[in-house]
Amino acid sequence: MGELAEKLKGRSFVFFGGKGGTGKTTCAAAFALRASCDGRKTLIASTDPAHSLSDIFGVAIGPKERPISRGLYGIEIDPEEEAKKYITRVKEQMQGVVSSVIIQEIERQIDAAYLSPGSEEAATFDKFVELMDEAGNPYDLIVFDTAPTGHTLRLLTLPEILGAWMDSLIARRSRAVKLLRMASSGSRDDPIIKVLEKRKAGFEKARAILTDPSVTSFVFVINAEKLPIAETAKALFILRKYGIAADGIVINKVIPPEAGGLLEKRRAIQEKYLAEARTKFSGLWITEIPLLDTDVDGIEGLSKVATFL
Amino acid sequence: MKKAISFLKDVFSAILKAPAENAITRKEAFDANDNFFLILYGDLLGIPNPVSYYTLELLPYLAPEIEGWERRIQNRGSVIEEKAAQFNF
Repeated sequence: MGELAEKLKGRSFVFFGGKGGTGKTTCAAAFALRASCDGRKTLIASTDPAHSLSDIFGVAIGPKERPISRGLYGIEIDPEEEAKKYITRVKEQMQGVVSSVIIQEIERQIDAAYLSPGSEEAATFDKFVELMDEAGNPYDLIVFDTAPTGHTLRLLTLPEILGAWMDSLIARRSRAVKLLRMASSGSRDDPIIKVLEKRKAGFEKARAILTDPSVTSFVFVINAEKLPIAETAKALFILRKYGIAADGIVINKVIPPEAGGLLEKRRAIQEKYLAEARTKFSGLWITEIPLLDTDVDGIEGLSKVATFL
Repeated sequence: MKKAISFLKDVFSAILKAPAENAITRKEAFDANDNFFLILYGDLLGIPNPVSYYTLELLPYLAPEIEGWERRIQNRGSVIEEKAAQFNF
């Protein structure tokens, strides 16, 4: 055992994903703990709006990075907090340029954007990019404990979608600026295009990191059951479409042969799904974690799980 | 030097081009800019914009223009009227 940790040794960003309830947080936390014990400065970051990192480590982890144990740090990304920071920054920037009358007038615009459906996602994404940014990233490894599959896929494919949107905005603005210049009432350097281009560059960087298999890796946590296998197969397909590589499958809560009794029947069913998972995900590194006789709780419980990773 | 040349270019084109032609270009330019605003801040008019979060950071530059844009876009007449305005009758 210990294969997965060994194989993912060179990666800087490892994502744990999968269907809800399969034990993503447990596996991500155990993996991060193991990496930190191996001497790598590790950050575990939760992008799930319903965080459970604090619960599993038994310490309060908030929207600011904080140490959990030696060489291990944790953060729970809070979209509301991030959005607030962003909006404060915009307002500050406006102070110098725009008159206070206009600022009052557009407060409602700001509030509307704050409440719009995509904002939470965008705020999470921005923090996530900030964490991965090479220049400001002091960690050897960042482990992402992600939300259930759909939410995460959306987050990971955002750079591509937003990049296209930025392109069209830049094209439109360029046309307007060009026409204004022809009517000789526009300036040559347009700050709007600069801002848009900076955003675009940010998205491109995020995309470059996410699609580089030597830096980023994706691990799916499943159980030997029908739905997690089906959902993961779909997720793998979508990720591949966006050029994001998945390397590992962790099959969690595998009932060991010596279980006996009531579990014997379940084990027979499970065998079928294990076989299915092994053929479906044959290109990936498959790791199995047995169903434990205790609850996984705190660092002690996690180190027990970590021995299987 | 480059700046000076481009400035002269602007000056000469403004003098030499027929004023009517210039007015058409200007109208077209303003229309293009208004359309750009529509995509950025359409949610002010009730058109949902899933990425309005990212348009916020443009506000420091565009805020002064928003009020005028809103007035224009809400007072728009018919399409024919719009098009007719582009020509100097």
